[in-house]
Amino acid sequence: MLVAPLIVALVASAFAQDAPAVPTAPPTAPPDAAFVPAPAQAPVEAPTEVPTAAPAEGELPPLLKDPALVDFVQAPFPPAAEAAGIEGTVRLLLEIDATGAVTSVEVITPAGNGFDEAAVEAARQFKFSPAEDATGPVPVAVEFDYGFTLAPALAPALDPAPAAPGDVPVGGTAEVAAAVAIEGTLREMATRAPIPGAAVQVKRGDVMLATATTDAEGRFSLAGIDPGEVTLTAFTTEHQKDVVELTVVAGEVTEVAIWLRRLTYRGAGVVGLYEKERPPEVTRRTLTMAEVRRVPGTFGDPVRVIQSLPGAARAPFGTGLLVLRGANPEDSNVYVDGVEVPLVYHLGGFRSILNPDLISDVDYLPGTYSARYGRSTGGVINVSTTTEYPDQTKLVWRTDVLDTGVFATGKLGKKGKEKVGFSVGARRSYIDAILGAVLANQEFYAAPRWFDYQLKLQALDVGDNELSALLFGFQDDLIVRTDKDSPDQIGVHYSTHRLVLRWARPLSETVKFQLQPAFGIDGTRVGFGSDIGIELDALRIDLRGELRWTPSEALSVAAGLDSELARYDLNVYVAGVPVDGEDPLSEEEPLTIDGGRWNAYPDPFVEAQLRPLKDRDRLLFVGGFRLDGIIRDDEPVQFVPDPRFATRFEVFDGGTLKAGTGLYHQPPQNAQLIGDAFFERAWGNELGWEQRFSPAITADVTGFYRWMDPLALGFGGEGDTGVGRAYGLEVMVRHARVDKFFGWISYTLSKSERNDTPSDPEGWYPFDFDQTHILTGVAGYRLPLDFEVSARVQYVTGNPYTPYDGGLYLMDEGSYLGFPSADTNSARLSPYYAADLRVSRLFTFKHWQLELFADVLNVIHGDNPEFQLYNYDYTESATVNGLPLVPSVGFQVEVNL
Amino acid sequence: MTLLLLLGCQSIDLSDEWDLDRLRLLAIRAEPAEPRPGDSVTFTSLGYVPGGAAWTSVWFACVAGTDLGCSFDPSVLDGLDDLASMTPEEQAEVFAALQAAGLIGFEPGLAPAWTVPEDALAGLTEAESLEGTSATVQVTLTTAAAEEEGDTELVLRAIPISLAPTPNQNPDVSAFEIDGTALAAGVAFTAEAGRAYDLKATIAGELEEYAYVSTEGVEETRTEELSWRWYTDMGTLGGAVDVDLGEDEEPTSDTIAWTASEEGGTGVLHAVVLDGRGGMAWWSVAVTVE
Repeated sequence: MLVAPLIVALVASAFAQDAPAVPTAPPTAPPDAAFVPAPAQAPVEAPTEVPTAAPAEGELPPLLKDPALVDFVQAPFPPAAEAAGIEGTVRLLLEIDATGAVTSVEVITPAGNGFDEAAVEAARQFKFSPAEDATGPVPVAVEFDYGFTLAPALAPALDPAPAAPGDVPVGGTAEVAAAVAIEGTLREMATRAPIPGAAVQVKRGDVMLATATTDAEGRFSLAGIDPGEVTLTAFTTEHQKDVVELTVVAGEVTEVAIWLRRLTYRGAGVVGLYEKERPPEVTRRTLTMAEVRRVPGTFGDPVRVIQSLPGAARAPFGTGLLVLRGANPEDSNVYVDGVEVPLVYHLGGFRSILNPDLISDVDYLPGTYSARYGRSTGGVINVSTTTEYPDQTKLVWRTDVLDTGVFATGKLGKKGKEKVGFSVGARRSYIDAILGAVLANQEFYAAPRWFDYQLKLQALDVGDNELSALLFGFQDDLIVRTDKDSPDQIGVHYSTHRLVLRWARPLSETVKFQLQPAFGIDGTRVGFGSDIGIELDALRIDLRGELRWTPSEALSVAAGLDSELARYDLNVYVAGVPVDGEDPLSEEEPLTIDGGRWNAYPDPFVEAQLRPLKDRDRLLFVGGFRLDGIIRDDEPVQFVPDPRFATRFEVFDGGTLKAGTGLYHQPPQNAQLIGDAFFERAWGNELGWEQRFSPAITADVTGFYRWMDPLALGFGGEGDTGVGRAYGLEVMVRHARVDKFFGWISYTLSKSERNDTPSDPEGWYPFDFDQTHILTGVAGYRLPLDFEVSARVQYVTGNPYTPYDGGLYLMDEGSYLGFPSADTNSARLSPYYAADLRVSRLFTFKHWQLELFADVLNVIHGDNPEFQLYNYDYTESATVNGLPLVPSVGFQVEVNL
Repeated sequence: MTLLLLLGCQSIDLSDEWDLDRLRLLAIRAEPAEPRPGDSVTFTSLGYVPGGAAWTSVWFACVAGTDLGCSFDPSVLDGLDDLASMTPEEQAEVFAALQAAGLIGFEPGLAPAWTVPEDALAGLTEAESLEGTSATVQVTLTTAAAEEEGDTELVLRAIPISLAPTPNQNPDVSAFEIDGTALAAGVAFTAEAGRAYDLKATIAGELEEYAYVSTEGVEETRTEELSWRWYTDMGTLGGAVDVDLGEDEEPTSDTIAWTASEEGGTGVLHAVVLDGRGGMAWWSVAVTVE
């Protein structure tokens, strides 16, 4: 048997499209060898996000341009393996610098038999075109499968024949070579995308008749084939092989359309790990969707994954309250594309307010963040919507026990000249109907109901301009019944709508500006039977504008506005309020409030980034200054300064020191409606170290200290304030998604305290959500047959509470006033243990995909105490436990038109 | 919201307020309900002492009480510990000190009675005196085994004091029905174990009307709104009744469902009514479950 070495370099199809020159035969090939170059063969997985070599603040938004293999180097087939007829594939992790050179090669999956050494040696000599993001060329790391296979024997009688474009020279007679016998296309199942660079072989029996490589459109043609039955095989290493029996008829061209199924669709669309412009934030954890949507307990919602990251306290009852670095939940702001929204989750905390398919990434900034953000003394969550639109329109339908949503994204216009990218989606819950049926006979019944919608349009053909419009909104209703014979006793309603316009363009080579006006309305309705009704409406205009001047690589200066103009209208009716609150026999009078107020927050900022070293990424100073102001027509204008400073220094390759400090002001929420204008203030500090152990494994240790003074108490006037402090240590060790595995361990050691009587040094007590230890482990693994399993385990110190021992009976009120038996919040609930599990299976068909998933919360059915409940006279107590085992099953259908 | 969901789904096993399973002081009735300065006020009370244990109650009253009751030197209570071993003179001395601190009763022995200080409304304008103020009555009910949990009940009760020309009157519960059958005062009721009954209590006469001047100076005539509290130690209270009279139809009545205990025995049913202005009354029925 004639055996010739065949070396197949397996390169990502994405690269292959940009890889014009892949050798068709190595110079060292033996004379009788037929090399089938298969540069189009894709790796097992598209480049996959792994932790950046950069600081563990993690990855930043997706690459705009993937790296493309320019110079492929053929590895010699190990002679011993060749002699033994052994084939193999080596999975490598390549680090590629900003010039496209390979700086590091690591074997992820060895093949032995000399393959590993040969592959590493060859890969070191690869040359890529560099990856790029918005800032220009950036270093990346990618996975790369280097395959070694032995070519089948060719018919010795055949002479070389001229090859069709894209074909390789293989055997064939001169007569048949002149005529194309078979033509066809290769497309990928589900995505319907053409497959370029795939290998196509035609055999008759064991005799190879012809081979070809598909072009950029996935087409191939084969010539020089005698009439008769043949077997056509199409394959890449990224797809399952397909074998087709054909009959070649003399004088005719046989047309064939072949669909190849990817070996896995998991991770598709995930962009490679990369290191890019140092962000101004000291700690910024940006999450990519394919990774976080598979974290158990999130129900596929990327925003919920924040609760598995350092610095975020466990939200009680899974409500998703944002308790970041010991700050009050209302002191952290949530933004969508930089525009503030009042809620990040729908009522109940199960879902975030945006369709997950619209989200490109989630910035989690627990402290010392940029001067671009303000009016919050806690942390910041910024949810960014996608700016990428597929060439083929994609439809997504997702249904589980909570809600159903549909989503579509694509481009509008003639193919190749598309004018507009679009994304549109909507969701509606029905958990209220399910609960209504289940709890029909319960005295107590509470049901949330929500819907949301999103529409984003982005101009695609406007040169340097970036133009987009995002319209989104949601409505939440909660009906609570405490007596089944008297339904709808309590009702809560929230609604929010936003229109966000964005225009950005470079004004010169060194100056770029962006302008983002946004218009929104918020509505809140709360009713308790006919006794209490509260209506709060807000009309707001947000304006973000920024002018960035970058005179050199070392310096960048930005000046801008983060402004908000809002009118709040409050209408309150309470049937009876005691005239004298201290007299239990006080007469009551109806309370009505009907008023409105304008609040303007101009909030200009400047920020400078300095990179003084030649290696620009090595040292960064960020200085920012922000003026937080309140302007009202009936009060003096107030401004307070927010100076901020942060620095990062890569002490040695892979080891980065980081530090930040700054002041943060915010008007108390209540002061926007009632009371005088004043500012709450926090002084945030952090110091940390980030270590990269390998392209996949990073660690981040950050210490923080936050001093909060003043903090509003109740409706808060300047004389009704307390102080607070929070400090601790955050640790995160992460293995980014490489090959089949991803996971991280996060640990937070923290203490958060309050003092409502600042003059009393003994007045400190633990904050309601003070959790000393928060340990979370997350891991996911991709199994064969497109199964994927992931798990999350969590241990959290129990929340503090104030113990009571008996009470004083206030006979006229008919209630007891509890006697605290110890200091405020001096007792703690038992620790919280939970394990969550997610299992999914993806089915792929020609034009669509189906994913079935089950997300089970608290699979170990732990008690998970959440709240200490006392009886009427405070002599007995019971623990209200967290969510019991909560299964969510559902499916997602994705169709590419 | 999730909390509400959880509370709805979880079974929280805590005692109910209507369930008489421990020492309780359920109601205090002052007569007159709204005294003037210098008036003498007498008090009657409704309590529950499990097992008929021996008990004591100590009563204090003050005009300017706090959220936690009357302020006095707690050491004056020390004398009560050794009262039995004291001579009559020593006892008189202790009581004098206690009365100076505001003691108005010590049961059994000294029935609670209080003379409203003449200066109770000092500092108020004439108009404010018509509205009046509230005095505080503080009661400590204790059984002999006070060291054990639940054997002490501390109670605050507000007593309105004013110069109102038509002071508030206590309501009187005049009728008590079980499944539509009226019970005469003091008559016991025998119930079938585990059976549900509809209870109904009604006050005598009509609801009182009174003049009220709002904080904005508007004079209006208001009508009392009653609130009812029910208690038992023989079964469960709550849930829908077969006939809901509704507040609008019979504002002087209240109904509740009572399910007699599964086990036989004797116990009580209490209906307590408050008029929201310091007036209070009750009806008690001894029940035997068979």
